[in-house]
This record gives sequence, structure tokens and C-alpha cells, in this order.
Amino acid sequence: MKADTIIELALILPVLLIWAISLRDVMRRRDLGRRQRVAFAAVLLFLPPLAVLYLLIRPPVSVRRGAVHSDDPRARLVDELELATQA
Amino acid sequence: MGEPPPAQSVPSGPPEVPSGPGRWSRHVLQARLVAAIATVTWREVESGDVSATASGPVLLVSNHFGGAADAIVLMSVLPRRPRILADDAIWRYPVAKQVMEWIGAIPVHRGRGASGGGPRGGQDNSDMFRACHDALGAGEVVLIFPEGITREEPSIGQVRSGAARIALGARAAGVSGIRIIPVGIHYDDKAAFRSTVYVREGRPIDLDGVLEEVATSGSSRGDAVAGEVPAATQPDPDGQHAGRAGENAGWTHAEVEQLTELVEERLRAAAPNYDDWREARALQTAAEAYLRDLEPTRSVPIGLRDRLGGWLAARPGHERIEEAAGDYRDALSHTGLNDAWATEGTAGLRGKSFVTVLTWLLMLPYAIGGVVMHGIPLVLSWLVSRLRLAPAVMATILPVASAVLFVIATVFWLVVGWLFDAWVGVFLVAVMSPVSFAALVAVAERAQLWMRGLRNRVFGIRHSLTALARQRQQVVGLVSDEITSALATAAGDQELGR
Repeated sequence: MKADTIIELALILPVLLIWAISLRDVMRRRDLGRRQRVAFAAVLLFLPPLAVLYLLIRPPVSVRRGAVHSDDPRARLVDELELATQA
Repeated sequence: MGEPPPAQSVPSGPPEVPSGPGRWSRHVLQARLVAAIATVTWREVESGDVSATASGPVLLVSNHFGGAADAIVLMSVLPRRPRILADDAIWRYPVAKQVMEWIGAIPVHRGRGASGGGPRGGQDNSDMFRACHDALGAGEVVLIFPEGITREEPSIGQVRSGAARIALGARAAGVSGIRIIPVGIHYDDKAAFRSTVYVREGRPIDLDGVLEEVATSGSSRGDAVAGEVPAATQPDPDGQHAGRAGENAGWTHAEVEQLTELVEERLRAAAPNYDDWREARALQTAAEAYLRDLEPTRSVPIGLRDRLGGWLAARPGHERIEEAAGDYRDALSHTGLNDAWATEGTAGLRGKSFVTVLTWLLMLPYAIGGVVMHGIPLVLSWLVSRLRLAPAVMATILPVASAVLFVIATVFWLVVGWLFDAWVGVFLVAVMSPVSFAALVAVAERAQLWMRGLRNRVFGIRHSLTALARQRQQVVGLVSDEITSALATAAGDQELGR
């Protein structure tokens, strides 16, 4: 493989990643109706460079990195302990 | 106290973007900047369910461990832009003044005497109260640190009456549906670069409901109405009441006192409450070891770890656990391991090293790009974190320094991109900048773990691992006993209640 090809691949991969993230984000947005989501997705699908712009200007959502999931039995145990102590 | 907040859970999709005044979508640039600063400064910012702050007039009360860091952490997790109450001294500095005005902060004139004049000038706080009432009236979030000063100890200090007076004043001005929501900020190490933070929302106070209860009990109505008493004749124990003449009257001293007590109680339940940092770290280590043993295949969320650590700290006779966990923590730091690695054994360490090397190789090209693009601001931020400053001062300086350095670096590279190939160059910088930064951080942090593993293998810590495992087992056993005993007592009490 030529060096130029490797560099191009290295640049294209992040663009693809951002494109995929933005498409997934559009489809999961609750503040848009179905038609709006489809329209947004169609634009991003055919114009991938706009994905960067989309991620920069989309309305922010609150950060929930690493938050506890409700199916975690450890969360239920801690809830139970706090309740038991305060009762 | 009643029930704790409901179990924290994450909805399957992203949270709904709230509507109304103060929503982040109207302040996209601010939200982006805050998120970027938080991402750079902390490795992980974990929050429980903060959806209660998404709508309606909300007075947010928080502990104040980390100066400006507290505001940045909260802004990064809240669904709406809060109006932050901050010391008016900040407005004296040219750039800081513009930043505070841009984010909609409200200045508080502290230390005023009854005459309205104080050590920092002659202004009273009537403008501050008016601004808070207007913001609440418009359905916004107002953020106040009711202790008034940054605190070094991992516990809540004296909660002052400001929050109660703002809420009651706004209520008297005709704002209904105000909720006072306590939030606790839990730092792993507030002065460290790339540490972790957990934000916990406490049990909200429904102001209308509380006032109804007070009115029903009739306990406060015999008192003089504060607004009818000249400010100079009122007791002013904390030196903060001089602005009363400018406040919207309509509350009584008893109401303020009761509400302040309630705010303090709820805030104490949400915020860290340890005797000192050694106790906090030891009990958090004990909690982490116990929780990891319950679900060995899952990581331990810092929120759960801190909640269980806080629960242990409130137990009488927790000193035995603290001592054993403190020794275990010292042993961990001596061998350069963390609790997760201590449970792996030597075979696990080898496996981790293999994964680390593989990740390294995959991300290395991007990380090299990250060194070029972000190396200088990253190293400078790290150097700032090594300065010998009080932790609370460092917690203010570090995120501000990171923000300035990274903004300068980003602007520089955008200009370079433009000069290189106009919009295509700008586009490439916009794509490669976050990707290369993420790769650099991931590679550097994995390299750190990898070096630890290598060092342990070179110096042969097989024996130490056995000793560590024994210490760990003792800590987990003590925590387990405490939990079993607490649950048995609760079950017994319930039985008696029937």
C-alpha cells in the first residue's frame, strides 16, 4: 500500500466515525418528529461533510458519562441501604 | 429526612432537550465550551438523574469544594443554563468580568454591614435579589453555593440563609412552583488533572408545599415580618443580611430559619460528608472493593462507590473499616496498582498488558497527531496541576488554564488549516482535533497503566499481590458484615413495626 493511501485512510476513518455518530444521534433525537429526523438523516447521508457541522450546532444534551444503569443490582443494594438507615 | 432520591437510572435514549428560558440550545457556544473544558479537565464526569432541573423555576444549591470547577462541572451536566451567583470581586478583573456577564452570572456583594457599606464597597444586594427573583420568575435555574465560601474539608460547612431568602423573596414577589434542588459534587481529587467527578441530585424541596406546612403548623406567624423591620435593627450573625432593605419582603425569620435548616439537611444528604480526606478515600476504596466483588465483570460506577462510601461514613464504628481500607489503599499506592488490577492476579495483569499494547498500536498514529496538535497545552495544563497551591485554588485555576490553553491551540490550528487549504483545511482540523485528542489521552492513560504492569513484573510483585489479596479480602469482609448487620437491623425494625 502506498504511503499516500495510508494517510488518506487515516484521514477518512475519523470522518466516517463522525458521520456514523451524527447519523445515530439524529435517529435518537427525541426533540424532532419522525419526518424531521428522516430529513436530517437524508441530508447527512448524502452530504457526509455536514456531519461535523451538525455535531457542532446540534442542541446540547446533558452529560451522562458512565451513569448507573437501573438493571445494576448494586444500585438497588445502595438504595436499600440508604432507605434502611433513614427509616 | 424522608426517602432518598429514587434509584438513578439512564433512559435508553438521550434526555429530552428542555424548552423554556435558559435552555442550552439558546447558548450553544457556551454549552460546547463548558463541555470541552470538562472533557479536557476530568477523565470522567458522572451524574445521577438531574432531570428535576429540566423545567420550571429552580433554585439549585450546591456544596462548594472546587471554586470555578464546581460551576463548570454543574454546567456540564445540567440540562439548562444556570444563572450562577458569584462573588462580585470576580467582576473587577477585565476578562473575567466579560466572561461572567456572557454566562449571565449574578454578582453577590459579600461582607456588607447593616448600613449597606462593607469592606469591598458600598453596594447592597438589592440588585442581586431582584435579578434572582426575575430569573426565577422567568422559569430559569439559579445556582447558589449557600456556604458562601470554598471549603477544603469533604463535608458541608455552615449553610447561610441566602438561598432561603432568595426563594422566599421570589415567592413573595409572586413566583410560584419554585423548587430548591440540592446537588452534591463529589471529587476524587479536586486538585488533580484528569480526575473524576460525580454529581448527585438530592431530594428537591417544593417551596409552596413547605410554606403550606409552616402555615398549617402556625409556628412562625407570631414572628415579626422581616421586611417591616429596618435592616439595621435585625440580628446579622453572618454579616450577609445588609441587603434586606432591598429584598422583596414577605417572609419571616422563622420561615428563613426553617427553610435554611431544611436546605442544609438535604444538601448534607447529597454532598460528601466525611471527617477528612483520608477517611473519604479509605471508605471509598472499601466501597469500591466490595462493589467490584459483587459484580466482578462490570466496572464500578464512581457514583455508587461514593454513595456507599458516604453510607459507611455515617455508620457508627466505621473506624475499623477505615483503618483496614486505609492500609489497603496505602499498599495499593505502594505497588502502583488500583483495586481493579489487584483483583486480576499476575495472569490478568499479563492479559491487560496485551490489550493495552493492541490499543496502543491502533491509536498510535492518531495519538502522534494529538501530540502535535495538543501536546503543548496538555503538558502546560499538567505543569499547572503540579504547582503547590491550595486544592480549592487549584480547582479554580486548572480548568480556567486548560480552557485558555486549548482555545489558543484550537484557534492556532484552525488558522493553520485555513492557510493550508482554506475550508478543506478548517474541516480537517475540525475533524482531527477531537479525534487526535481522544487518541492521545487514551494512549497516554493506557501507557501509564502499562508501565505500572511492566514495573510490577520487572520487580516481581507476585508476593505483594498475595498480601494485597489478603488485605482486600479483610476490607470486603468488614464492609459485608456492616451491610448484613444494617439490613438485619432494618428487617427487625420492620418486623417490630408490624
